[in-house]
Amino acid sequence: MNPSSSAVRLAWVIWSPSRAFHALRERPTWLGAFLVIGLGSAGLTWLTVPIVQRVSMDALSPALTAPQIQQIIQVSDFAHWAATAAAFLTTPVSWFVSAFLLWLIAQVFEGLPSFKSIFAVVAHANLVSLISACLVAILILMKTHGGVADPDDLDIRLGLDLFWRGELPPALRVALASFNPFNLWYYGLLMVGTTTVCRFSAIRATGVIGSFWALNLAFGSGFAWVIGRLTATTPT
Amino acid sequence: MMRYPRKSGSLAVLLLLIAGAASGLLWLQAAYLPGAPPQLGQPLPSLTFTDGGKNQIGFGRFLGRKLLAVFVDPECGFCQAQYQVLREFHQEASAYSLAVVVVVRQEPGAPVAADQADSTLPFPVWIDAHGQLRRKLGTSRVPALFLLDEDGILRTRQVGYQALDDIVAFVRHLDRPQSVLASNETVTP
Repeated sequence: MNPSSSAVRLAWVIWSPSRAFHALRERPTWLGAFLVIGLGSAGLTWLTVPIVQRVSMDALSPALTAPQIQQIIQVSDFAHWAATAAAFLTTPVSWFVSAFLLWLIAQVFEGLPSFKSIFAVVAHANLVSLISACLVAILILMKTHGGVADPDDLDIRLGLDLFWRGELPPALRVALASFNPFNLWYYGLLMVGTTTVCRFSAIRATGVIGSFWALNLAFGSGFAWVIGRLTATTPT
Repeated sequence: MMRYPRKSGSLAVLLLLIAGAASGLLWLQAAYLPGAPPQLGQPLPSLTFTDGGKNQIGFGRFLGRKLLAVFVDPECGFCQAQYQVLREFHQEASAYSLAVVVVVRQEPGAPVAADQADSTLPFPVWIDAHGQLRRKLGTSRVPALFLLDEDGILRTRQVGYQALDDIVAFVRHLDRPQSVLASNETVTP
């Protein structure tokens, strides 16, 4: 198989990550990964958003007047397009932020990686997020076929938050949700990738990825805490 | 021994990013989060609004009368529905000798919110610049209804669209001396 092919590299990310990242060290590319993951994410968003909107609308409509329903339908159409476009466009932006952070941390740990190689590692490791999104979409489809009427039932939990009954404070929920198999897989791939492109030892790569994970968790939980407080005043 | 010329610079940028992110979260909290909600059974903090004629005005002018203050956003669909209920409530309000004030959020550069609210509203419409004053009252959600007795004491606070019957029930509750009606909000400490 041609190791320069994007499809082959993406397949190797799943079956033989070390091989994939060795190929990326020699020739760091990301456009193929972006097209597959970006378009895949956008497609899944296009598929699932109307389902969630329909269930929410069914739950709300008895309490709404006809003009209000009409207004919500108009907003929903816009939201459908906007969410799909956002899923595609925010993909490289989030990769850039992650790669920049990881690149800085790698240098603090005395590595000399090129930004392009780190970006390529982050791009390919994000294949896991597409697989995770596929699973979420399948679960949403299965639940709606099962006749779910409550929008809260479409809230798919894949992490430790799954085992917590009732409402969780947003920051704690983000923290618990980060412990999910796909996230662990993602950080595992980043570790293999960092070890390969930075020629780090396993211990040093653990330090880099551990710091990266801690920063992500701290910022994610902090942001969830602020947003949670902003939306905490919920009418009953 | 190998040197890493970018190590110190990277560490400095990383620390700056962390400090920036923390500052951003703190700014977000200070700028947009509601403050502690006022206690039921206590007077509201003194706040100064602007009326349609750009005069400074406050709830204090209604001391001696019951007051229903309704906070709304100009673009909020539920607030439009709330206007309709308030219009229907107009007759009831007279029967209960209750004053009603609608407070509209105003953003800089936007058309005057008081004009947008609903020119046919039979109640005074005041302006809350950026929604800052409503955040001082512990809420960022609209419509938010604050019901005060003749002494300016907060007797209930309800967030979200309220039907006519609900508003009438809240107002009737004012006839019970010293009683307060629990807010329907849940506030994260």
